[in-house]
Amino acid sequence: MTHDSTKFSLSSGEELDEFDPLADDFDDEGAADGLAAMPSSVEEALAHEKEGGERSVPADERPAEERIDDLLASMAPQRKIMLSVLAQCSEPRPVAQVNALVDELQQNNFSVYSAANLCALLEKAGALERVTADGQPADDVEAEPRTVVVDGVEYLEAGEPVEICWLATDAGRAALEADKPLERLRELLDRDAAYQVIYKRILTLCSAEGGAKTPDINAAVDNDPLVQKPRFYAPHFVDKLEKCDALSWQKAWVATEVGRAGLEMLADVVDEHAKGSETSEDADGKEQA
Amino acid sequence: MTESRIPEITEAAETADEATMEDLAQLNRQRAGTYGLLSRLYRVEVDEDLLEELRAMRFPARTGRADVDEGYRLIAQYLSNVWANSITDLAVDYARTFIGHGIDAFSAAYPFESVYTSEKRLLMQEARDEVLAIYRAEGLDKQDSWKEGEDHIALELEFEQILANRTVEALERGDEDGAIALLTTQKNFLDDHLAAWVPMMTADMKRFAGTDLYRGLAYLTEGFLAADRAFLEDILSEQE
Repeated sequence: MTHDSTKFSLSSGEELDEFDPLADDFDDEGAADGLAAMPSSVEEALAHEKEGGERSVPADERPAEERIDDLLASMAPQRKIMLSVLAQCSEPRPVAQVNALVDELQQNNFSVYSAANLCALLEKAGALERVTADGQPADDVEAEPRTVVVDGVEYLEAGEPVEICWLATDAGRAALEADKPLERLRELLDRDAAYQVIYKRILTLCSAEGGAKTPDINAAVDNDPLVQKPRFYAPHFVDKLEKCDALSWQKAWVATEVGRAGLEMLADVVDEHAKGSETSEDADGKEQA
Repeated sequence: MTESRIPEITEAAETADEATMEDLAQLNRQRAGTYGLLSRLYRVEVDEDLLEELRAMRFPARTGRADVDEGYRLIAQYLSNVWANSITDLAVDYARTFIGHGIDAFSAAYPFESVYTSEKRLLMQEARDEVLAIYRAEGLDKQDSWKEGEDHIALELEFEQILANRTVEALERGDEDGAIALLTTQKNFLDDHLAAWVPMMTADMKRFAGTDLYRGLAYLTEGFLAADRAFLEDILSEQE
């Protein structure tokens, strides 16, 4: 292995040969100047201050519609919850109520996003706005502290805060209206026509009382000849159905209204392998004798 | 509304002349209370209990110090406009103000003395060693649960709180010399440490904080420390 030293800014050998630290003409002052020229942290700080201090993050100036689409796409696992929030906020809805709704929707979902986080993201994207109960922008209404006098001394007390509500903006409502899960499911079933029988089997299992556990779905799908080549496993199909809001996780996979509508779309599909697949493996995935 | 009030340290400086032992003990209780509150606000994010407690407080409107008044006004203003997501807002603002997101050492109001007193703005520098030695000289050490440097502003403020409480105890048992020694330690610590770097940090807080609570805390901290310094100078000069 060879090294190419030409890229390094080292002094050449000739320059080093000429250097005599004891010589009278050694430029001591120059060296000192060099040190003095190094910026100290204080100077850096002042320079930083002069440049405008805090580095500002450029504001996202794209239209709200675009920002909302981006948010819903990049936060796919929270998409349904965020759309549910928008649906709830067609009129001013107290923040505490919205938080309770999100907590309920997330009760089976270990998410790092709290209701406050999700609503803040929607607000930043322009889908929600903070308003008072009568729909006035919350930023226009600011409660002032109360002044009280006790033993001749003037004090400030926290005033009574105005109740804040969330309200979906026009762009937020448009995003909600543009969301058509049934159409997405129809497109999925058309696109994946070869696997309609698998989708039907999963939706049928999940339409049962209490839904279906993952091992049961795996057992019903993974040995089907249809998914051997190319090899697919049950979660591949479950995931696609979930993205169409046809399934939801409630400690088991449960078919939603959209999912049941999907079953109706698949009424003509005949599932010949359904029973055999279901019994070919037990819940742990071990083959039965 | 509870009767909890923020002490008026600026008034304390004015009245130190005629302070009796009991008055002095009361002033030191108030000093300890304010140091404790400030320390808590810097230590970790505000939680529901603290927010509730703050909302129940009364803040002096006219202390005679513009920075303290501005601090109380901003905090009271924030507390008058809390909403269901204030705890999250404050947690976000705490991170933005004291942790930041950059790597250039200029992206937040770093709450460590070392950052503001070392040339390269590094953590765990000389200042940390010095304050640790002072804590130990007073028989104090950090708890195992504390994972940050000992020169964090919360610990420096808590140190003053503990010494102020010890001063109260000394005064209550009539140990005037002990009280004076403790007040001298507090003044020296304030001069050599808190007053030497906190004004730079609070200047950064005013730039980075997004909520009135943390902006108000910046004004209040710098005003209170300046007033307390004046009080300690006053009270100790009388003893000389």
